[in-house]
Amino acid sequence: MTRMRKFLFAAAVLAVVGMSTSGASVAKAADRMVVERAWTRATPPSAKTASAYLVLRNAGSSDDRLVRIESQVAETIEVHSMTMDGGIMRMRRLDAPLTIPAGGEVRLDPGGLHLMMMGLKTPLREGDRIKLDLVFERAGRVAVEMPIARLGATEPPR
Amino acid sequence: MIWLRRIRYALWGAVGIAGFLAMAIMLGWWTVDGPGARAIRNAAPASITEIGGPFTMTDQRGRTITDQDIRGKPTMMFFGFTSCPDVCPTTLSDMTGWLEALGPASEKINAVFVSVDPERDTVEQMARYLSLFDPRILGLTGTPAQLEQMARNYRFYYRRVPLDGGGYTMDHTAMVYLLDRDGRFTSTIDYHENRQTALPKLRRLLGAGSAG
Repeated sequence: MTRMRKFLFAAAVLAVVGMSTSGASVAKAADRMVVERAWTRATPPSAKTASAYLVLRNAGSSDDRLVRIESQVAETIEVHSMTMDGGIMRMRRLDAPLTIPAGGEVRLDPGGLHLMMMGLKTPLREGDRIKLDLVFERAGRVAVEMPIARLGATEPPR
Repeated sequence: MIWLRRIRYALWGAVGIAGFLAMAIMLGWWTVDGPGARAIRNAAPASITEIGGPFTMTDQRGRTITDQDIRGKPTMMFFGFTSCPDVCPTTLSDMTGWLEALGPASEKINAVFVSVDPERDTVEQMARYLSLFDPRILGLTGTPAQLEQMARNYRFYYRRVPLDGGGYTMDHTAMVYLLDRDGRFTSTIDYHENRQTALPKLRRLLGAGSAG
């Protein structure tokens, strides 16, 4: 299963690299992704996980997919869902890359979709900022800087 | 010759029955006690009167706490773990806010946080974590067996879920239980329930507590 995923992922990356180097689909001005309302929360001293939230607005004319998230702050960052079912909270990785429809937006908010940062290198301190790179299939690499709200916050800091 | 054939049929029949029985036993074991058993601990209890009962856990100061220690005052009880990135810190901050909003009445209610992650949530870890919230919140952790006993009696669910690249997270019941002064379950406050409905529930619980 994981081998299959790795293979598919590698194939996707190769496809993207191949297309961009051949010049067939170099990220045009139209393939723009706007990131808004990005934020995360402070973590307790020995926490290894944290979640981050943002809104992705696809200003381009084709659907786009978030293929990878990179950052110095954590070893792995994935898009996870959180569901509440009969009072039971579950968090799972999305099975497929997050798709942002052309002209549409996808919101990652507390209690729903979120960026799950695993293997935090250092705890996140309120008032600091962290940097992430979101890599999209079409829009390419988008750098995001986000503020750290207090622990237990349900909204971005003002 | 006909006898031999009959014996052969009888033997094959016996093999068939033995095979069927073995499979039935295996299947039974698999779904009840084996790997196919559901870890769920009655997420939707048949009757609310079944919620509650004995427990023995350790608080963030290292003291042994049992169900008897929280009797005499109504209780709000929440289940989670300290490396939970979203619902737990949010709910503990809600609890902190409710205690503040209750004012002096907050002294007449127990606020309890039960860890469903005994592996990582040591007493020291609980103390560090809870120092970030209202100091009146009592954090309970214990051995896996103590937690299991409490989960059985209080009908909350938890399950360990491995993450890619090592580590794990926990699925768990994420509502706040409200218990009366005799430790009986009365109702819940759900995740993201706003202050307008949460506070009246707590006041009602406190009112019932002092009248009864």
